[in-house]
Amino acid sequence: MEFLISTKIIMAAITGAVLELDNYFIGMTLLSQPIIAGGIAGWIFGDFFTGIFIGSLVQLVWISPPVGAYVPPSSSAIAFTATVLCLNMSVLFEHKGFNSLMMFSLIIGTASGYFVGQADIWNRKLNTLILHFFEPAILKGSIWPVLAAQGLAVTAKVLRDSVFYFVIFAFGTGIAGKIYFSLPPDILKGLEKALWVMPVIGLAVIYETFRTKTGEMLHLALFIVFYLVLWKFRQVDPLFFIIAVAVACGLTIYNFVWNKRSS
Amino acid sequence: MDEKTVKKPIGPFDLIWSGFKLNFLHLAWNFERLQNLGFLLSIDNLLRKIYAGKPEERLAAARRHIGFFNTHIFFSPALLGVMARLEEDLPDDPPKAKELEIESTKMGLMGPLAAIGDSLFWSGLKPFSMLMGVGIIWLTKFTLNGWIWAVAVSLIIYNAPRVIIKSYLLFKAYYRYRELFSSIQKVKFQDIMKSLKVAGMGFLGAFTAVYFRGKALTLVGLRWLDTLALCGAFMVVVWGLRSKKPISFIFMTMVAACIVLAYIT
Repeated sequence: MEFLISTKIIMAAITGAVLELDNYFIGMTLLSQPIIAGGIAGWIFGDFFTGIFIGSLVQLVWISPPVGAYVPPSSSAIAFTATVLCLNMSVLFEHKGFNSLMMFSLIIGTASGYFVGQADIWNRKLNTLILHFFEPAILKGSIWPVLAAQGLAVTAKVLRDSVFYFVIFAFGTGIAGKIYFSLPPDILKGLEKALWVMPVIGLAVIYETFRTKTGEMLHLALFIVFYLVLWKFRQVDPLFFIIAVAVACGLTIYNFVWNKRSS
Repeated sequence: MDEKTVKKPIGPFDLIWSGFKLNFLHLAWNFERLQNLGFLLSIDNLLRKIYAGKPEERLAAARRHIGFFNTHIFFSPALLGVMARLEEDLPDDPPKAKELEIESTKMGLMGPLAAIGDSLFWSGLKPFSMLMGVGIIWLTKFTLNGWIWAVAVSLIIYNAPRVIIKSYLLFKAYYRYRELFSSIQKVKFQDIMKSLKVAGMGFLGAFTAVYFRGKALTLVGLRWLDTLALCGAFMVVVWGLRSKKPISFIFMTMVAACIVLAYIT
């Protein structure tokens, strides 16, 4: 069995585990979101483009938020694992056909994201045990047991994620690489097509999240306008693009949401 | 009694420190009492000031706040402020009445605040800010500069309201807790949500055009056929989402369909 170990892998495992904390446990500032996690993973392994590309795909598809006690798959784990595996496999096996490899890594990354989500449920069960253990001491009036309980909970989470990432990066790369290179060419072609179609899922997810009658009309209108603009000019300045869309959205919102209400 | 003229045992820095600790509200989240440990940790320094020289009363307060607690993390400062104020204002005798009042207020506030927070942040600001981030990354063709802009824009869109709302609620809830809910009611959350959704749909329409006009067309090989195929795939995914199919199921089905297509073509 192939076994990879390097400072990059250790660094990636620790970084991934620390980023995971922001996902739900500390702050929730969105620093752990896939576009950022993917970029950081890409930077660690020296290929920024792949990290950002994978991160942006994952971001679109798994944009749905955690509501209530539901524990969703970890989108940052998906982006982080997929980027690291893809870059590691491409170096280890000196592979050049990148799109199918990216898609293959995304499939493994998705599985690992679901695993991290499931493992969060185990952590929360462990937190119940931690609460019961420290409760008698907390009820005596000291704050230290509360701090100890919090510390133990976060240590368990970081340790678990670091070990998970380390195992999947160190052992998973070799196994995944062998599976990938044993796939028939037609499957690889299929994976390439899937990578190209994947953003459609994300666009549809956001469409469903934001859907309103006024929004649907605006969506269609701006799609047609910008499709024609891009067809005619091929390239649009990003700043102009954003300002143009913001003005269109602002006018629509003013006329159909705020002005309508006040009148 | 005029709320302004009464000298409080709790100063603005105590409130800020408590509010800061609310960032760790989820740290020991558990299935039994959810965010209770995080809330107890946050309110502890305020309880120490309120019940200085009254250890029995402080212990009773700690017992109250180790119970069930669950609300939206960014709206929790409102509860923190109201709880601190009630602990301070309500007479210690009879203890049962104080406990009942605080417990019922806490239970009554947690749900509505969680509902506002969930819809405003999880269903509104988060997807909107991330959509902006992804859009900028695509428009700038995955460059480092573009990524830095995307990260900055999406973090500011999401975190600026987060910090403003948290600070406002914390101080308002403590210093003017009787006016808190009339102030919240005055905010047109429904209109804000609708505006966010409309703006999100607008940006989505434009970004969809960027993606559809992308040059890496490999599905069938002909641009117009590829565009049609993408439109078809989009509609199928929308149908799948409306039929409550899980995203992982849609994702794997799409991968399988692309592999089948590769064998056929």
